[in-house]
Amino acid sequence: MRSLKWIVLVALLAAAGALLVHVVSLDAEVSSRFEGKRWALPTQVYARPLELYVGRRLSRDELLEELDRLGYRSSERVSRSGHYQVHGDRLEVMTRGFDFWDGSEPGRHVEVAFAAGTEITAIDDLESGGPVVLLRLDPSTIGSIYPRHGEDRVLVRLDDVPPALIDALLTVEDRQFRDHYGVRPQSLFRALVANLRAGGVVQGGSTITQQLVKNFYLDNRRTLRRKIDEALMALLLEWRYDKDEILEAYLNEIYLGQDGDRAVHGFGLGSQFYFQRPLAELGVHEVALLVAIIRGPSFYDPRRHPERTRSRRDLVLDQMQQQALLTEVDADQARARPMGVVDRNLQTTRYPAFMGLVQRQLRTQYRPEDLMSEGLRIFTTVDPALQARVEAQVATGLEEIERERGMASGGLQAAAVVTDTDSGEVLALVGGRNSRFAGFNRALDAQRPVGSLVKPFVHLAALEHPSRYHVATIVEDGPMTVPLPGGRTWEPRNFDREWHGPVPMYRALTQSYNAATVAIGMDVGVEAVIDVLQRAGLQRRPPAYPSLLLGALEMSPLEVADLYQTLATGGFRSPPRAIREVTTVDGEPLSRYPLSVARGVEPELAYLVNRLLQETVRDGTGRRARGALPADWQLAGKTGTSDGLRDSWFAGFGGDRLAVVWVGRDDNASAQLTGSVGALPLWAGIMADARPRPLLLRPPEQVRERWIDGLSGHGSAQGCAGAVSLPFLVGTGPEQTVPCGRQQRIDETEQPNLLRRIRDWLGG
Amino acid sequence: MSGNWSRFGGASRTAALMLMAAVLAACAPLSPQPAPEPDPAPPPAEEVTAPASSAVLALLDRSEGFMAAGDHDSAAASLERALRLDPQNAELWHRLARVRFAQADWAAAESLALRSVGLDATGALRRENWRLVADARRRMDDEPGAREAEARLRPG
Repeated sequence: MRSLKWIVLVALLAAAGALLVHVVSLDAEVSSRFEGKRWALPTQVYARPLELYVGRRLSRDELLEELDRLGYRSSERVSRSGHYQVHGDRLEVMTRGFDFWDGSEPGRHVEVAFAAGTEITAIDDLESGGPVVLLRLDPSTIGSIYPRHGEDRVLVRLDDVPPALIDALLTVEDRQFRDHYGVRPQSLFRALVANLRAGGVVQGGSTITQQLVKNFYLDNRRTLRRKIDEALMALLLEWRYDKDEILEAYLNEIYLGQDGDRAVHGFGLGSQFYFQRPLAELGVHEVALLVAIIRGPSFYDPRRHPERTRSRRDLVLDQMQQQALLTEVDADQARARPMGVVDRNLQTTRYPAFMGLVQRQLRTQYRPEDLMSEGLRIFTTVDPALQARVEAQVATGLEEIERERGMASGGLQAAAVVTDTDSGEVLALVGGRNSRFAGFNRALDAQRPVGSLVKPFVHLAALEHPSRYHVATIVEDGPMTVPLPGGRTWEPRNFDREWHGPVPMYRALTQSYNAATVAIGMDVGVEAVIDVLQRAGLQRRPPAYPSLLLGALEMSPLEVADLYQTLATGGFRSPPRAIREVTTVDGEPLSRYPLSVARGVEPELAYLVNRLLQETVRDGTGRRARGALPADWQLAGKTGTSDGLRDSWFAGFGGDRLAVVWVGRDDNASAQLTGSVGALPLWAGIMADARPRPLLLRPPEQVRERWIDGLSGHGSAQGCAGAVSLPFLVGTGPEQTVPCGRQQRIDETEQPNLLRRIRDWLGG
Repeated sequence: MSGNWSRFGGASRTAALMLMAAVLAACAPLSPQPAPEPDPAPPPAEEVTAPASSAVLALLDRSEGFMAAGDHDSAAASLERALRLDPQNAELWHRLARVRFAQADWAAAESLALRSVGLDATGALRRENWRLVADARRRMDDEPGAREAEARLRPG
């Protein structure tokens, strides 16, 4: 008898001990969720913020477009942030404040005035009445980097949450939240009885605290043991933390929807996901919708099941009215409003190709686990307005080419990169014709032969020998045999299968003559050309084959942008960059990606080559862009075409914008396109949208302008037939001159043909 | 062929008009600049120096404040922001060069000063830039380069 009593006692003690151990371990788990990091916070990635100041070239409609992108709403009376109203040529707006890396930008109530719809002429602060010198809008979110299991969220603080949301939430989910200890005994008891009757586990009435605990688990098993553990953890939570802390955690934890592989957690992201606006700006009909969704985000999906979800929203509003949290008038108004949910594709990662570049640049500095959990904020360089236009240009441009050339639709592919020349910031990046599709990123990963895009660097290498080469040096464009290793030979040909004879060097570049360029390149040496390419930004050393002189060199569009960026800056290296700043979740600067400028090629030589590239667009192989673009932009650029017309390239720039376009096929078959019929029209369309400043090249101190006879390359004079003005380094240039007026005035573009005809006559 | 280009026509005309407006509006250079000497014929380019807008001046002030407080990174960030507004402003490039020099980033200081020279090769700013280039090169033990820069200091 005695021993049995002992056995029972020991057993009871052991059970109590086991329970204690279990409770302690649950307590540790609860605490670990709350102390320190409560959530793995995804990294937020932002577009460039739009700067507003007097004199900025920006139309009213462009500002409206940006406000729309940011989810600002038009309203009759502008009294809250995130709202605006149009008054003719003026726009009244209440901006949202934002914490940038270099200080916080306050929200302001301003009126922006536009002149002729193209330029900001005044910004007035409507609170103080004074003028505003400079104003930065909040940046749009272009995506987030979240962990594999896909939880994404935007953290909110309880203070920032609209009171109506708390009212609606507690009314519908947990009216005794402020009074209970984590569980409601009577509902727990009811659930237990129901479980026993059903012989299994059914859903009971959970408190907010229990729902929060449930969300701690990744899976959704409903065992009795799990239910008991959840109740225990709810009690522990309430014991350790106060109600506001629990409520705030709930607001950030609750699951609100699914976006592909991304799970939408918390009301902060939920507000963005469904309304594309910050939570603080939502009206009562919108917070009621979010509360309605909690019960079952896939069952009550406002996009897939609008009627069902709307009636549940109205039910939430009814209950709020019953609890006297809404007046009848307000409730009626709210019930009359549509759900107002934005289109889903506005919210998913907008620019997968650009995001690819951002991730690649981040990966050199951050560990993937930090990117997914530390809530970093990445400020990028992408200009969403331009990005959208470039995407459209690529898509419609390819369709037009296919239609005009009778090609099968959809066979062509393209990639495009647009940078700000002065800073190297990447403004737009398109990785294929379907830019929403996060597939093969051709802008970064397609390595294709660049063809004649390499020629400016061949000429630059020659101009590095001022005693041998200036832009009017006569070079031979004729049959030649280049010895290759292994006793083989190479006979470069021109694209038009003709020889152009002795030509001034500048024409070899502007008309893209192959034989003349190979002659120059073999004279200065392929190694010297590779040196120039490396100084301009090429990150590797290709083998020194003579075919490199005609662009048998594979590069990605981004790498080409890097090279041409060096020309566009006048000789300085400012590599393309996609990130400006990285800050912590609290806005503390973590790493800067400062404007970097390094010496690349000599500014004088870059100037000479850039003048010739301007001539190329004006009257050379790029002249087909002329009709599409204003002549006074004075753009510079170069075509590129690879062997067998597989790759069609154009790279060029204006005063502050550079664009590189590649067109070809993924299967590497011939695209049947030269640079000037494939990539050039796309480039011209992109440049027209990018609206660069004119390219006003400033002659360096060591450069002088001279009049040259375009035919012979000898000195000439202003007003003489066939005379062109060309730049020369001081102390270089042709020594001979031709007498003025001896020639007939000849249309410059006819010259090579005429010269050829003359030679043909002489040759018999 | 014309069909291929017609869709750009309207946009480019508008753009040209806007550009003309911008050129007309852009006057009052930061410092008076003589036009480049018209050796036989300058490229068909007008010298357009963007006006130093009050926004740029405000950012310059801010950057000076950060410099005075010894916060070089923030000073540079303000200047970079100003450069995004007015990238052709030689003064801004020069100031950024000075910030990098203060941070002992000699190579960046040299390149930025050279960029400034490329935008304004006249007057006092030119001299200051070449002085900065010479100092930066000397810190990098590039004595011949420093001498070459100093040679540019003399009016040529």
